[in-house]
Amino acid sequence: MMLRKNPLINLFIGSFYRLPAPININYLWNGGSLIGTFMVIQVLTGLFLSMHYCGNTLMAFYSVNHIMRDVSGGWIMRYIHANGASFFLAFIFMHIGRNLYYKTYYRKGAWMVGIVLLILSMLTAFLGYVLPWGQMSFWGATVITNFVTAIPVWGETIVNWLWGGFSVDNPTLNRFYTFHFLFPFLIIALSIVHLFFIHQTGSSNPLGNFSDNMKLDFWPYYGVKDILGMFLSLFFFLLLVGFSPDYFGDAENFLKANPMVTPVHIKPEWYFLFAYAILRCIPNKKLGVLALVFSIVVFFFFIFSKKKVLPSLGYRLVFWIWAMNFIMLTWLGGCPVKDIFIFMAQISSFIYFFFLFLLMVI
Amino acid sequence: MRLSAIRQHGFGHLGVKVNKQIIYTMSAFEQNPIKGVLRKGVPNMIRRTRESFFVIAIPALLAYMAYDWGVTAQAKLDRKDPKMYENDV
Repeated sequence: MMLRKNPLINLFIGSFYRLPAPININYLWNGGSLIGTFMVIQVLTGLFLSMHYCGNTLMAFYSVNHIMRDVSGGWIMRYIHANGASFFLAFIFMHIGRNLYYKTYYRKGAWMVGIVLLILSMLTAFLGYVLPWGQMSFWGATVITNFVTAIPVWGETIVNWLWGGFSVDNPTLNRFYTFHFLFPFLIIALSIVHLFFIHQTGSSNPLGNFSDNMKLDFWPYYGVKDILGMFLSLFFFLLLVGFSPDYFGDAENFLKANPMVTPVHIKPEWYFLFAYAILRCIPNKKLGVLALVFSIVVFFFFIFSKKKVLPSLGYRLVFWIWAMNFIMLTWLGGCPVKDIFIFMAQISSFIYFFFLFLLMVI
Repeated sequence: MRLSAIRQHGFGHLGVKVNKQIIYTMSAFEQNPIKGVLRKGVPNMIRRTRESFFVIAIPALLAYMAYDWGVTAQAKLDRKDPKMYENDV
């Protein structure tokens, strides 16, 4: 084809239009494109929000109210952006779950970049949650940034450097706005690197076997399937945005940040609750922070696991126990700090790490 | 349409070199897009569900039982002891 003589068009055709995809990949392989869709949605809505948001402690809360009430279509931009973050992270969790289930972590490059993308996404979401400068924004930022004090010797110095002062205040909000704007572009760049690694060998498939001799062109087969997935997920997304946009929100964030009044139950958004449960159940502060960090870092160790084989019945059972335990940890992270819930969180945290270890060795 | 291709590896160059293309087509009017969706699709769905039901249902049930126990046990701990107020007027 004449078109393929142009290197850029050749790259596009080879990576998308005529990309050979296994014939048997199911809807769990839609995850990547869905994450990409919500990435685009977040960047676009974020751009519009940034035109009216003011990143100063005196104005931030009121500017968000201004966006909601005065700016034309501002309310839907805000609600799409807030709930889009939930869907973005939900699809990331599903994507990681699929890779764990089908053991595609044998692709070390793609897996490592993927975990870095997870960390960056969680960081971006945390930074974004601080921006409305509500009670939960302020106190969530205070709690999370205080973890840095667990670093021996230099902890206090580092956290003061991060804050730009001696507590979470205007310099902190300003730099959080800057990084919240910057990190998504880093995520996009790393996503291209992620795709680069995957396209070295092509997509995996549910049977886990060699599929070089049973491929289909990406377009129209998986292109149309991805578009269907996008329509379905956008349907549920817009149902949430249209009918229950504050479902994942916290009532405390309707109050402006007040450093003199601590909310009764400080808790992060749902996608951090599993790590929050692990942190809270350990009585020692340093060990709690270490466990929190390790709950994400542990995924890097999957590159050392056994060579890829088809998931056995035992592996699948271990995976589902781990997955249900993950949901349980998420619930426990949102529970108040009471004896039974702390005890259950301790058991669940042990199961989280032990069963991840089992997944690595089975 | 299937590709009979010699695969090459590398970004943007997967399966680029095409030796032979065999294209089978049929008129759209001769095709039924939902052919067998009930007769074959429903039994297949039942088969796939049966194969993975217990592997998912058992952990889910265990998790629910743990959740239920936790909520009930904590509610009991939150209650005042009724025996202390038995003889209250």
